[in-house]
Amino acid sequence: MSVIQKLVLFCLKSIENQRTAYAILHLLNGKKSSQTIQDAHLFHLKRYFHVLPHLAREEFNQILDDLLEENYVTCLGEGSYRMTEKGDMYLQEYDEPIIPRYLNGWSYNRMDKLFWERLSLMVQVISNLVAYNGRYLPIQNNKPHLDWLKNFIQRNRINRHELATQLFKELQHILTNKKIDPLILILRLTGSNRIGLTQQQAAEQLQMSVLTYQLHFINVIHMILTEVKENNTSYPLLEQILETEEKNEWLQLTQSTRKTAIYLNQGYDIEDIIKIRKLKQGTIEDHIVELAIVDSSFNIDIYVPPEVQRNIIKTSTNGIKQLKYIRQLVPEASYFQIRLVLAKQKSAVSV
Amino acid sequence: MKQLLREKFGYTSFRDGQEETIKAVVAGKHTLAMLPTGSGKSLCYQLPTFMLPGTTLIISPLLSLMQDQVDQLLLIGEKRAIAFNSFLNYQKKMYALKNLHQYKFIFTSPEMLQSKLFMEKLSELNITLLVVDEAHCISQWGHDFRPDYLAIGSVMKELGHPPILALTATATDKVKQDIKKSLNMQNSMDILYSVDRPNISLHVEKVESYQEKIDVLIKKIRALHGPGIIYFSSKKTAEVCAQSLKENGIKRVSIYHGGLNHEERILIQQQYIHNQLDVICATSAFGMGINKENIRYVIHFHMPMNMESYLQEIGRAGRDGKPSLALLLYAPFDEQLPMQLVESELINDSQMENLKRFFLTDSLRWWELEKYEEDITVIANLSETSMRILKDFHRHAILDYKEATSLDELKVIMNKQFQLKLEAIQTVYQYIHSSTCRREKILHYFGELPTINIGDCCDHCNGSNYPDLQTEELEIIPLYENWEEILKDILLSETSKNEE
Repeated sequence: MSVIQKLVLFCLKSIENQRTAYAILHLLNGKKSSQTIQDAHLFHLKRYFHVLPHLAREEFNQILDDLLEENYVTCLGEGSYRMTEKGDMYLQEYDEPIIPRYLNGWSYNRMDKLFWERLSLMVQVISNLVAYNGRYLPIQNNKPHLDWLKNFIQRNRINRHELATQLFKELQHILTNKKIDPLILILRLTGSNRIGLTQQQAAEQLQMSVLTYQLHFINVIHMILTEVKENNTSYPLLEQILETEEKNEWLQLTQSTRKTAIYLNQGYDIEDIIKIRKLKQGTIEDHIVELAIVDSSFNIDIYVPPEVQRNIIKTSTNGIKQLKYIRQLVPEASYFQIRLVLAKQKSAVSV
Repeated sequence: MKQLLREKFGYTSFRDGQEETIKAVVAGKHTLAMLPTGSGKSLCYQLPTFMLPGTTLIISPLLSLMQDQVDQLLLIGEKRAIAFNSFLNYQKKMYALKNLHQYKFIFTSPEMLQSKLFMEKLSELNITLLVVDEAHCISQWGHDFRPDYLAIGSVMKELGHPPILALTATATDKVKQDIKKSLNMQNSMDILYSVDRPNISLHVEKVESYQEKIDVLIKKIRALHGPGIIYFSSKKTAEVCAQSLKENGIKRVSIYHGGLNHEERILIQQQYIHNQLDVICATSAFGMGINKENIRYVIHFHMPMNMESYLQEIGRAGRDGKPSLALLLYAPFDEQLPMQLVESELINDSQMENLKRFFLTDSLRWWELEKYEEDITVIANLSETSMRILKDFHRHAILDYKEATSLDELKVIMNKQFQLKLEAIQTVYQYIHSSTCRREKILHYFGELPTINIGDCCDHCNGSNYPDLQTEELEIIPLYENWEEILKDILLSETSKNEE
């Protein structure tokens, strides 16, 4: 069974026939709808949110067909599937978390792509620095990345060979003794004299399907992200890829809000945080409003259904700004929800 | 000038035509330069830009071409270059507009010149050179007429009448006259070089079927040495052939087409340039901006649409001047594919009838065409390209307050284009089936006479033996199995050398 089939089977078991299989496709794609976000929480599948953003419907159907054919599941019609005994048995044999073990899509879905783009650029630039080669094409053409890297090089004004050695050590250390194949990442890296492989080429060389490769690749990236976050002092260079823009937003937050944000990122909800931090509900809600103001990409859909959001926006754009009156016109919304929507609007405008 | 050439670009000498063109441009003259493919046309405006005080505006027909040019400049460390086109999203566009004065090279498409905001910003700049790349696109007699190009002539005033450099690789006399007239550069300095590339031997091979063509292709690729390109008219066939080549033991092969993202495109181009790949199975998207000197052969699996693009594509071989091969494979009825492509690219009479009926039943529809794009696509069964033609025409028409009845003008243009394109295919067909010297055929088409005797001229002059494609021993990068070795190779190779 391929790792993707395993993953889909695991998800099918988790949703226990309460949703159609396409809820899983939306989850793996990382669809930003409140339904999908709620599902991710409800069925404890947040780790798999947005881990295969390019998985197509046809490919997904093929996986379902394969699982059907092998009798791991039966189809109840209308996109609804139930586990067979064989399927249950199969998953029970894995008490360990399902294979790509480092996946953490909920926490990293906004960061993994950026991390890879900057890491690959960093490796390429440093490799060319030590080769004293000034003529090469950056493999990423994203201007903010190029600017960031320039800044990074200036900040780390040490001998170029020391810089390369340090980066080598960090990558070597982070990839050693982990339950991953380092080649999944390494084959993609470009240096002064060795051009990295594309996703398809790497999959071909490692003799796996492109989809399987994509999942393993994202798994490696998430592993690195977790490792760097947990042991940031061991990875002074890699850590800098993470700080950047995030840090700016981060610095604007109060100490207490930062703590709340960390819990939210780990998947705790408001009730959990109230209990853990022994704070009032209103305080946590204040933190969330603050996060929505500072971080323009903060998703409020799990706190306010989109329809309610629309009603609030409609009312407020009609000139009514006072919470009390909005509340009277949109009785289904709480004060917290109204504040959150207004905060979100503000951060969207200021971008 | 020579010093600048060495410092900025790392070349020690100019190629044919470059120096003359650059001198004319720096002297502030209008210049029409027809230089063969592979002769480094972009240098003709890149170098002068470093010598001129202001900004150079470069108008280019293809979006991918623009990005390639920006990348090329990045490669030599010039970051003040931007491709300002519809690929940029709103935010990036606004950022670019605000900072337009910081750029030394601005690449743009002709349609962008119709953006008021963009023109306003441009008129505030000191534009000291206007480059019209692929200038033959301005001529209705050219193989690649783009109505949007006609608009270039009308923005000259706003740009402050800068000196113009019109560049093309292949233009017949008629086309050259058209270029000068449209750009109002009658007193231009003309620098014209032969389209001939003497070190490329011209061959055609006829087979009986599609399958035989694939078999022959595999056999040829096995026998040929050195880096090569195989051109296809369809993405799908390119993929199929790349796969069969791999299955037949030719491993260092990759596909390249417009469907790849930026990272993939750069990686494959660079793998090819670094000799990590031998063969590229490509669509016409590949090649522009690829500066690889040692390409030994270019094979066409499908029939080219016209002689101009054929010359352009085979011109990527042998830039180092060493013997190289152009091979065109032909199976019966191959001409049908380019004919279908032409058909789908243009708007035919019955499509035009449907369009007219649609717009004339409700005259408002014409003025609000954008709203009806989906309906129009279905009603007139338009391809993406023909929809673009309609929109281009529409944009010009409403600027002149022309009603939907002006579609008759488009109909005339389309019919003329259709005829020209069929004739172009016919010319290629005759080239394939000719029994006399192929080089002579090509030169005749472009109004030139053969001047020199060439050893490995073509299959009619020298028989079906290919020239001796001398290939240097290429350093093959070992494919390590060990990830730490690869990482060392990337980050520590120079350090370890120093230690030794």
